[in-house]
Amino acid sequence: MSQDEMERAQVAVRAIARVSAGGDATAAPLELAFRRYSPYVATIALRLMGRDGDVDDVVQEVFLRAIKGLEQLREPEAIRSWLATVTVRVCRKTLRMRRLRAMVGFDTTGVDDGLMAATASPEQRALVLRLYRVLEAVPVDERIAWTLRYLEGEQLEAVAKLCGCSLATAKRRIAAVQQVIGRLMPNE
Amino acid sequence: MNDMQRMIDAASAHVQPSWDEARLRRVERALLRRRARARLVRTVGGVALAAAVLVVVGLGFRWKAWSEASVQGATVEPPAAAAEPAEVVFPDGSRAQVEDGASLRQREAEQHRVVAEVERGSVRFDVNPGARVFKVIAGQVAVQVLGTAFTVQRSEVGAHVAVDRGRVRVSWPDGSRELGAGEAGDFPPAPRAEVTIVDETATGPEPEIAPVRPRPAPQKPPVEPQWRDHAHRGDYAAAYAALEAQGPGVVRNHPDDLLLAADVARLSGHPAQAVGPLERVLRGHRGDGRASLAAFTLGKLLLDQLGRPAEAAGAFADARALAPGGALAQDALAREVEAWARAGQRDRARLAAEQYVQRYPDGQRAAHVRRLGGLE
Repeated sequence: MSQDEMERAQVAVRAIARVSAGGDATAAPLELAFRRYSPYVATIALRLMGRDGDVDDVVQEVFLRAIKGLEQLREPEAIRSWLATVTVRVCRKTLRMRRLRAMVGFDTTGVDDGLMAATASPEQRALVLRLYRVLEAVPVDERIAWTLRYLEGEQLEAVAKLCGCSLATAKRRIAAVQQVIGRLMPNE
Repeated sequence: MNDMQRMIDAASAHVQPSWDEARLRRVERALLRRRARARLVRTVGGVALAAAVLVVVGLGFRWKAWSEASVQGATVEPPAAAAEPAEVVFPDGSRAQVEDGASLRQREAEQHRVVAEVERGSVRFDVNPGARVFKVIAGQVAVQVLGTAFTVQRSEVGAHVAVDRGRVRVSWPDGSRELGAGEAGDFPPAPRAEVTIVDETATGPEPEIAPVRPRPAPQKPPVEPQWRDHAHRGDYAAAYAALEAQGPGVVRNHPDDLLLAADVARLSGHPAQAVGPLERVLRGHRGDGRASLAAFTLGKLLLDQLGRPAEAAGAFADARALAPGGALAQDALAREVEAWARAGQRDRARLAAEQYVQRYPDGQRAAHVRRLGGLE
């Protein structure tokens, strides 16, 4: 890391400390930000990855990357938005690796029933597992765009920004998954 | 409702990680170990020469800040690393971290009394809980410590003060104010006309609130922006469109505006955009009588519309903490039970349910709470 990057990281960490004030007085800024925003990051990670077993590693990776890149963020919404952006990148990379491992037979886990909270009914579990089997089969970029739109409730512009693509591309990716799901939902 | 919509609703509501305290701490420890390893890898190995150059440059840079931070009678810590701010230790054990380019001067330094002055830049103070008197002066602004950690950033017209922990009293020639943990402000505050005037007949732009930059004197009296007109008439869609067109700067950093902006976002079908203003109320205006309502509204948004039950539980708990005997306390606790249950955190749901049943045995939601909290 260069001097400039280290100084930016220090500024970023202090920015997190300013925004995340109110936590454990003895905790360093990274810890404060982690305690406040890790549930948010973990939720996005689980919905994108579809496996609870992947969440911990993704969350760690996101915060390791976030501390290097945040600059002068002061508003909670700005920090949340930045963390969401980093989470999408990490999940994209991890999903692509998973896809590659599956192609060569190194990943046979499949959809994880553990991604559902205990409060889900059996019918809801069946529906969600069905959804994630579909998502496992569509291209990673399309999966991410659709999940951000329909499970995270993001506006289309936000989806495009998080995915690092144009609005038209985001719409196209979302529509592609909608078509696949629609074909597999006989009651629609 | 078709299968696809049921599937989306089920996934939004129930695809939630079980992110309890034990898991959070486990992941946090692993994160810190990884960070420590990453730092070790960067320090040794093939980049040793670059690190040596960096250290030399950093020490020179830090020496300049350190010499500016030197204070008579106080112990000055040598710079620990190239990118760390200079640290000052006072006789009473309190510490100050002096940021790049900042200047700190000591006026008094005794075992039980410290008076320091921020001449320029930003300094973060961590005051020893045993300190008797700890005062920081920045121009015409004085910050009296009541046991806390806080940052003072000198500006052209005064200072920006942000409190991380505890409470401080900020005073200036014409007044004073106490700030609690998580609160911040620019002092001396601008005259009321600059921030609260609503003059429908005047012309000119609404002044922007920029907490970390000195505010310019207003050129003309401000005018009521269009978004408020629409909101007060109940046309939230038009209000939201006007907000988007005019930019976030038209929302003043005042609970009136922040709560109205949150309503505009929420009632125009943009719940995610309501979170920011509500959180700003909770961060910067916790003493306002509506802070508890803001926390409760935030909890409802997070739980009912945004599928973030763990965060919602925190917001409901905050609503109760802000007004323990208020009208919302009972509902807030009930909804906290629901939020923990939907987050898959059974232990927390049960604990909250037990509290509810104990405090409100005849409460309207007692049966619902018992079921969600696993007390049946």
